[in-house]
Amino acid sequence: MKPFIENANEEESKVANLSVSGFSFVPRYIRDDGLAIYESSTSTLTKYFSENDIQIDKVTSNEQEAEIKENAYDLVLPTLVISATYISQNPELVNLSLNLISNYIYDFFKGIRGEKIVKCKILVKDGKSVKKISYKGAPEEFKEVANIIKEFKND
Amino acid sequence: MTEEEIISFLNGSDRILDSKSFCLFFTRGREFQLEAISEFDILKSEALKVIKKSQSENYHDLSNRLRGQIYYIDSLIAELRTYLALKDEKMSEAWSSLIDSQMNNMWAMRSHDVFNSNLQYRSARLEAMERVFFPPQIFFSTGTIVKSSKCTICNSDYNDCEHVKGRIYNGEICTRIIEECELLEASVVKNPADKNCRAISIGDGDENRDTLTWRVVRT
Repeated sequence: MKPFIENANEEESKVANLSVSGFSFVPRYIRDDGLAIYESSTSTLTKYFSENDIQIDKVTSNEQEAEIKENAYDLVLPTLVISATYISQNPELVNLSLNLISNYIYDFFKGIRGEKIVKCKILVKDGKSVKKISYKGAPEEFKEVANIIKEFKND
Repeated sequence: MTEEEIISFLNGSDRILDSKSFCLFFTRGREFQLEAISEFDILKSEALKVIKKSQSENYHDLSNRLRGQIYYIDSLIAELRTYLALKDEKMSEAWSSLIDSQMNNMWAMRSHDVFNSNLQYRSARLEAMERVFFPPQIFFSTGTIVKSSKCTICNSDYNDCEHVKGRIYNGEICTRIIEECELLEASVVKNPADKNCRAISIGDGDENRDTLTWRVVRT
């Protein structure tokens, strides 16, 4: 499936506007008891960024966090927020970050046969509007998402 | 134990594994397959002793290769057990052994680049065996909220350490041990992480039938 671009809904825009730095992770949801639930890939992906000295924040300041683990071989990446300004000002860092995500995807599926599915959602703040890039498809095609993100710098 | 001695052990074990590769077909005689399992078991015991020495010397690359070899031996043993169980009409056991073989093959591929390139064909072969020998299965998967987990390499909170799940460190694969979680749901999935989580019987009118043999199951 090709990456799909659309305007983010009201709630997604609200969440995206909480982000102040480069890349930020967004929880899948926040429970009534305040527990922020992130995708199970979040902590491992954070380590890929840390190894390359890239700081990655979370848009919520919930003290209590947990991860949702679904025992299927679909890779659900945490929702990411990034601003178009950041993409313009830090093209190399953005490139490196997207390569790290690609490396993580490659490692995740190493040695696994059968259908491989990557699901991801990336919110790009562009001025006052927030665009949402959704992708559900083969790991090899994730580069399409990376190409779309890089294009935002020209807007 | 020197690095040369470990390499020599690996080469020797490769020769033993190769010499028994003729057994890796369903039609081969049971006696040959049982003999191969015995020899592979002995080889695995030796490999476990060698990896300990390699780890204590911090031969990281060799330890990773040895771990891959141990997973590979386990995968071969499980494949042989699949044939034996099929011959005995122990279909559920045959299924579990085949899944065991696939999983060990995957871990071997993840352990070292040598296996990642050499075992691609074997991986495809084991997947084909699943399709040829067994009918499509209905798989289940659970969804859980993980509140805390520990790293198997350093025993710290997984979020606080530098080890990465799925990577191998001096012959040990890093995984997360879940310490506190909440069960959310169980669902039917096409691509499960654990193919042993499957429906073992299915309703057919007033009767339940085994999903592998289609025989009526007494409840």
